[in-house]
Amino acid sequence: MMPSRSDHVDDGVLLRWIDGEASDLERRAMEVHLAECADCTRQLSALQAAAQSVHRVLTRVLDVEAPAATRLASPHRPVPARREQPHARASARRSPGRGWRIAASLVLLLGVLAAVPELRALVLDTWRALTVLGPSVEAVRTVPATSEPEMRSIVEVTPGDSFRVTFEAAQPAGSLTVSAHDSATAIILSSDPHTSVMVLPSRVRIANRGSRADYQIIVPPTLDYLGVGVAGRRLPSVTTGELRTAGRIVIPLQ
Amino acid sequence: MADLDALYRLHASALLRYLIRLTGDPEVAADALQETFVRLVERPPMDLQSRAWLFTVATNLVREEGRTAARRRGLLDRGAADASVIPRSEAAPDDLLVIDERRRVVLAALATLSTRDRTALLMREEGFTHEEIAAAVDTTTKSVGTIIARALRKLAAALEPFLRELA
Repeated sequence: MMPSRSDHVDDGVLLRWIDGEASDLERRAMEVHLAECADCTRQLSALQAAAQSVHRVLTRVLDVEAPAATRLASPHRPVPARREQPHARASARRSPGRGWRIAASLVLLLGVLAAVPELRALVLDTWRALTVLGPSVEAVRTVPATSEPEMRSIVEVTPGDSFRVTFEAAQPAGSLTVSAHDSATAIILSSDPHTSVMVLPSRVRIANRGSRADYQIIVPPTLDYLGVGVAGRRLPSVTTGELRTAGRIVIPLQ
Repeated sequence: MADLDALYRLHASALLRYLIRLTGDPEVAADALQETFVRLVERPPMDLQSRAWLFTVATNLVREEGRTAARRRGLLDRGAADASVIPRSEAAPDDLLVIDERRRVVLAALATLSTRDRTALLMREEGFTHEEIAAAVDTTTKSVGTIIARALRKLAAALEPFLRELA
């Protein structure tokens, strides 16, 4: 007997049956119905096929290993070679004698500078001024007008190291960032009672809560790289006395 | 500490896989993963072994942090447009192009689902019960089957040409 449309098993029940979530009552009713209804049997097969297909696609196409997915850009990553611009190549083709003209001009300029000491001093002063002003101009562009410049320190340590970072003053904007390659778990012990223990995934940021706080970072020996960045209005002190092995510490101040 | 460490080792991989599928963006997924474990440290649940708690918190984090439906679609689209952000195993350059193209297609298909449908479908993939999924997406247990079935049919239809290629 063909059941009426309203008697058909709905998709929700079909999926509960597939997932083993149907109640005993639903399961019995459905089995009786499926024995008589080719339409619902086809629907069940189609839904099972869809579930299998989606599962296959998700696992075969999208899945990556968790450690790789959280891997951060390495500071040791080689800088990609700069590509030559097409228009530069075209320009060079248009002017085959251009290099010789530039070389000749440079020789002439050096000759003039050697012969006229005043001019040489002027050129050198200008050059010095430009090289000093360069970074400052860059800084003005990146620092918000209403705040002090943000300071950053970067610490690189070798495996097995342990070191301490201290925020010495209230730093509402202060933060500590620790990044590691692979999925190695490092541990951060904090003097902040609200952050007593921190299990470190591949990367974590800790917002300083505006009070003095110490963070001791224990680097697992299996780790081949760990980078620590500290950002705040005032540069936190980085105590290196905790280092158990000779670590390489670089603190460039930007 | 040992418990937390063990929990991370036990669940982080599956949680990250789920979050990458959910957001389409490995960076966003990694951030949500980290924040979930921070929450675990700061406000641990009664049942520390609760896998569903971790996934629900992670799902809510993705939702809370300004990632509205439109933004999530945007992220997915971005992921779809740049599927190469998902790390790949060692493979020949030609193969990598194929891998990236496949990921782009799958991420784009996932992006067509509503957030709730995608969450439910992906949590089912992780082996959660309908009751756990219902709690995570804030619906009734009975509705979960309907939601996932609809999502499965829609996703399978969107991926049909692609499935033939994969077979």
